[in-house]
Amino acid sequence: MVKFITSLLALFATLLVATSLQAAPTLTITSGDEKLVLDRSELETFPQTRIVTTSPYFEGSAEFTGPSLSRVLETFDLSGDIRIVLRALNDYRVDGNLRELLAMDPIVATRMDSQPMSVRDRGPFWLMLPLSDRPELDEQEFHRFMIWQLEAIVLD
Amino acid sequence: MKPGSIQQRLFSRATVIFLFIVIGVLLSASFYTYVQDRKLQSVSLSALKMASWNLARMSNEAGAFDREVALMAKGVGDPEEFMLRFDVLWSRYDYLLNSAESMPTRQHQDNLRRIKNLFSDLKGLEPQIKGLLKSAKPDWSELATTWEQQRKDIQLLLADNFVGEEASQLMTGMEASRDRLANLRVLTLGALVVVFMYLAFALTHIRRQSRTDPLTGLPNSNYLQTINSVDPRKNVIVCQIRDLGLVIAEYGNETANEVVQAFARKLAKGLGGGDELIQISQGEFLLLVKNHKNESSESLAARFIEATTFEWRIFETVIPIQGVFGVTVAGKDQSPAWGVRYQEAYRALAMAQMEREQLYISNENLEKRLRDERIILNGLVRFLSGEPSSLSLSVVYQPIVNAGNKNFIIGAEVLLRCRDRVLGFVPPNVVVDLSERHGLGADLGKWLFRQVAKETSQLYRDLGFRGSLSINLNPAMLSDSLVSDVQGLLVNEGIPASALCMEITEDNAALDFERINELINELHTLGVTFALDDFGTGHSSLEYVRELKVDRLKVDRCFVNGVEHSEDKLRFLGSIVAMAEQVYMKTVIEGVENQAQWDLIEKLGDVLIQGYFAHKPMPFNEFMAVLMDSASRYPTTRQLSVSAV
Repeated sequence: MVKFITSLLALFATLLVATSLQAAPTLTITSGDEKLVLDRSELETFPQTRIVTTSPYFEGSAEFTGPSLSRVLETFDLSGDIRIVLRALNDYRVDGNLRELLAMDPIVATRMDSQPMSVRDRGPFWLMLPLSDRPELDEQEFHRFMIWQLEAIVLD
Repeated sequence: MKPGSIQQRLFSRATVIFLFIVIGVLLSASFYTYVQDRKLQSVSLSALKMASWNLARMSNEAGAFDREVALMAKGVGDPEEFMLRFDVLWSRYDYLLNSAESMPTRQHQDNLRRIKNLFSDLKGLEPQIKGLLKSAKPDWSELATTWEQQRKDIQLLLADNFVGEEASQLMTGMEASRDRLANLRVLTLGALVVVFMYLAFALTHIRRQSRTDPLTGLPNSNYLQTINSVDPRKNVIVCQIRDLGLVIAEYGNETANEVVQAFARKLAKGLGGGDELIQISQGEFLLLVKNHKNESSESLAARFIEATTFEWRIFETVIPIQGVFGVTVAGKDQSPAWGVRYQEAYRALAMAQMEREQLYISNENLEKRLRDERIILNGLVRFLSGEPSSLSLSVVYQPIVNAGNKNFIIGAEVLLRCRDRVLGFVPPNVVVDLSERHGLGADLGKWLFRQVAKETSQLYRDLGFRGSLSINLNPAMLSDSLVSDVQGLLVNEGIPASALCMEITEDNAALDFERINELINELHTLGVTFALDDFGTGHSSLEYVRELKVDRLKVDRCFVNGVEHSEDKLRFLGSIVAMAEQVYMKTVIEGVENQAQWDLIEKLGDVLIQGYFAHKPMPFNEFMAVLMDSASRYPTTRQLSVSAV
């Protein structure tokens, strides 16, 4: 009986690990009471935008794809002066004015060089700015919005 | 302290070098601080901030993973969350090692190596973790221990970067810079104080020095310039050492300086409280002195004269030293301005020198006299150069008669008359003295000769007059040019040399009997005669009678005065006449003013008489009229030729 329970627990644990290793973090978007949780496949159903850019975070240039932030947020009421808070897995937060942020044409990148990004590769979602296309954004004050391991977006 | 020694110390090479070193050190210290602070500025604060921030994030992420490890070890952990934290830390290492942004963090010290080690250590955990997660009965303690070591390394890295290294270096640098600046400021302040004190001292010293005579230490003429007013109760006395120039000429400046020092000391002894002694030049002093109680300014000056009359001995020689003093006396209430009093004192000094006195006290007469003299001199200069002048000179003639016959005019003395349009009659001796003092004597003499020739030549040419003309020679005329002047201006103009009689006094003959006798001899050969004027008044002593080869003796009027009342006086006058006869001199007696005198003098013998009783001085026209008078007789060519026969 004990042995059975133990083996059952082990099986459960194995299943748990297996699912956990497979399971990827999601992106949670909240605005007041509204809440939207999106995983990668859902994000990839949005119209995709492609950014090829260099950045201070990796060597050379890379291709990023994903929906633009404005597409992701378009289900929400974006009227008025909205403050946006971006939070990463490591609890790093950046906040700013939504309109200003959207003006930087950010995308919620889900793939780097066509490959999904793992947490180790700073995925699964990375807010990417078109630094190479818009060199004026290649400044430290904009770099801070290029938050990786993006976990949640809060609008208020 | 002697003025020299302080100056030597103040401006010595050592002091100046010391000051230069102080300033040099300050300059180099400032430069050093500047360079150091520049270095400090080059440390990029933003890079430092970024590095600190990244490492702080790493520490947080390690802490999150640490919590998951602990939960797993207790068997309550969430494997999904555990792996997530593992991966986040993984990505941090990856970021630190690969991103351009974290370059400064990597490059600092041996951070790159340490992060690489940490990354490989973390990677090293992965197989173990996978095994544990698959294991049905995992033992997390080993992993916890291994991780614990990594965690410590992370803390160490953080500590080294935050406390031990860049930040603390920056802080230390800042502090050092601040300390340097503070020290430098103190140093600069100190040095500035030193330099300022030096400058202030030097300036004061130079200021004082410039107002002090280096020889006597007395205030000098620079100090004099700063005097704006002087207490009117003080006498203003200017004092000069007499003939200091001669002392320099004979004994040198060093001796003169010693004399000046001694003189200054003697002057200083007479000073009371509040009195001042200023040295104006080498041998010239100014005293601002109050009278002692019940002391007159005269006796005050006499006190200084007495104190400064002394003998200076150098080897075997004795130099008599004395001062000449000009005094403006202390006023009561309404005293003229200081500058005026100073000028008056100098005027008095000039007067004392002119009169060869030791003391002259300024008064109103002096001022008027000097002002008049200025007017006269100005007039004289213009007159002699033929310009329109307020002064006019003329000559008058006082006939000289024979004692035996009042009507027999043997000649006349030419006398100078001076008149100023403003001042009126000016005594001729004033004009003569002035002309002598200002180098106009020769010009005046020539004018006189020309004037006499112009007026009288007619007498000799047309009247056959052979009477004598006595002309007073002023000192300047007794020069080598006298012979040519007499020849050119008188004889050539028609005055026979034999009719000319040159009158000299002791004053102008004083210099040198030999030289005067040479002149006399030269003119004698022309036929000109000489007379010794003012005999007996002290201006012409017996020695002159003996030494000078003169032909006539002019006895001063003072010997005539009173002869009609006193037997003794008459006898005395008689003895003068007798003496003159003994040395073959003709006597001219001056100042005979009445019949009684005339009668007595007539009996003294063969003398000539000049005086009011016979004739007053008169202009040429009158003189000619007197000669033309039928009663008058005078020597003529005819008579001379008769006597020659």
